[in-house]
Amino acid sequence: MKIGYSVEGSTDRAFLEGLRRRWCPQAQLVEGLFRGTSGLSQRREIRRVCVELTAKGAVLIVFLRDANNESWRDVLKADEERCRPDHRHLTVFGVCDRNVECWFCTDANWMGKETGCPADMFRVPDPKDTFEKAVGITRLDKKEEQIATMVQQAPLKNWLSNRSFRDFYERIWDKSKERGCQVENLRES
Amino acid sequence: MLKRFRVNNFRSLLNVEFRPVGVNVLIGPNNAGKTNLCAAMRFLGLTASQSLEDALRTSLGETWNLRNVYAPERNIEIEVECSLVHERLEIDFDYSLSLGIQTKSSAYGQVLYVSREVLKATGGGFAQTPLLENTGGDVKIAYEGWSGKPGPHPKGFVHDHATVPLSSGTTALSELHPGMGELANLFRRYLLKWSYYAFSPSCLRSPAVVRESPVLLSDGKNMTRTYFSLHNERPRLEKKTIEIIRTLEPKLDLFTYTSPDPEAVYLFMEDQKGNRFSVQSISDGTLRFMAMAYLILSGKDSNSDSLPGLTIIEEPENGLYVGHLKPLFERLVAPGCRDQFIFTTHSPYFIDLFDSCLEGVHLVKPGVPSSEVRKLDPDKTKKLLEEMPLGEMHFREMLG
Repeated sequence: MKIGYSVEGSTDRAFLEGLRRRWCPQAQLVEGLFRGTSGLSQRREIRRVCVELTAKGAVLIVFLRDANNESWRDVLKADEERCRPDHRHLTVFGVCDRNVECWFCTDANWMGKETGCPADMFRVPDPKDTFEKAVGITRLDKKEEQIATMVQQAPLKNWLSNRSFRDFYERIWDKSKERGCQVENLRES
Repeated sequence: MLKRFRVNNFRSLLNVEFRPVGVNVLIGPNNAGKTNLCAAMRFLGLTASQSLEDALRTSLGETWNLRNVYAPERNIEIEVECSLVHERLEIDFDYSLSLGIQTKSSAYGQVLYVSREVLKATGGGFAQTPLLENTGGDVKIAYEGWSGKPGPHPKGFVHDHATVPLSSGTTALSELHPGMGELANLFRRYLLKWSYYAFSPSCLRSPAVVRESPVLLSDGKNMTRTYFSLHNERPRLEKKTIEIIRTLEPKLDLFTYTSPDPEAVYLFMEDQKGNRFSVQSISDGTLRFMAMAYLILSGKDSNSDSLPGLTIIEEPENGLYVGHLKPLFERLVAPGCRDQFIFTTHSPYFIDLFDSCLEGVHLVKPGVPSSEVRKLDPDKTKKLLEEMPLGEMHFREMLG
């Protein structure tokens, strides 16, 4: 099974790779490309990414992006509206409030244990820089393997307190039911 | 017109077949083998007039790394199928060249020799008739005659053979004299028209004249002389060329030249107010455009009875505003253009221009042991064209 995805950056890509290993190890991830680097460009090309990934055989397409300083619900709504009706049954949209690092740092104690840093440093409104320093992300090394392993082993049920993650998880859960896949039930675990 | 080119055991190309149409583009990632395919064609074209060693040095820049390193075969093989008009008859030519390789010394590199070379003709009374056979330097050349000539349908036949010894460092084709077989000479003249270009702005700017050659050289040298020759010998073509260059440089009124000595020609763009701009102040992209405009228009303007040309241009988009590619391309696909063009490109915008001639798009894929050359699936691609341009599909790795 091929799962298509479109992300803004390497941490988002590693996050999805971690989820794949955890919930759907037999699946193959296929990245949909877009011209540009911003979330705006990503949104502009949602339709083409869907065409591309369906042509490449994807049965599910995950769009993941950061809300940055906007409301994640507004971003999500605008992204979904960009999606063509005939692709909607294939797509899952996820928007992180600010950025995906916020999802990791929802459980600051776990982040502290994982990185050997004080948990309090992750309890900030925008933990992106802190996360990157703690994980050791540099221009030359994006630590994608390490981040994917972190996601694979993370206590994700604690992340549900983050509303944008919960929304994303529930969409994945619903889609997994449609596809007959086994996604771990975080609400009851 | 070239119908088929097959190359085996040449760098990354192992038994690769290329079937071009009129206007072609080779697309693929870096190190896929696009330039190797072009180099193989360029090499073959050069062997019609040069020794194998000179042709190698010109086309590859070295005499090493000729064979495919993963292949057990020793010989390099090249085959060509083309169709040319002789006396209003369409003749199909099959040419095959098998080259052995010797390693003389680490300093000298590898040496090629002709193991076998055969040229056959079909049509006009011929049916896979050998016109030339070269086995390790023993060359047999057929002399053809024509019955019913002059007339609408002359018929060719072989009336005599000549056997000549030849050095193995050249092809028999390159040693043909005008009196030795009309058809073999026709094919040789056709190969001589194959040309390859990868322009370098510094070469395009060079005022130095290459005396022995009035044509544009593959790196762009001799352009000022080429334009000077147009000005003196083909003013109508010069006018047309200026018209197309005006799409890029609207101020251009005419080209002027100074040639203080026979070794140099200085070219200037002149505007309507008489201001002159030397090639040093013309942008790289404009110079490339000038060179391509010359190549495209000079081919189109050639006499109708002359042989079609085959022009290979690497990455025509370099340095050019994307909007300027279309006017050039439209002249390539215009009726009456008999020449074949082969481009390599990485530009999605240039690839977009092929959406009406998908059969000219050739995908070159890297691989071990060999690169692969494939055509598009026309049905699938046409369907996707409703969703996005061809270049976008290339960017998204959806082609092939």
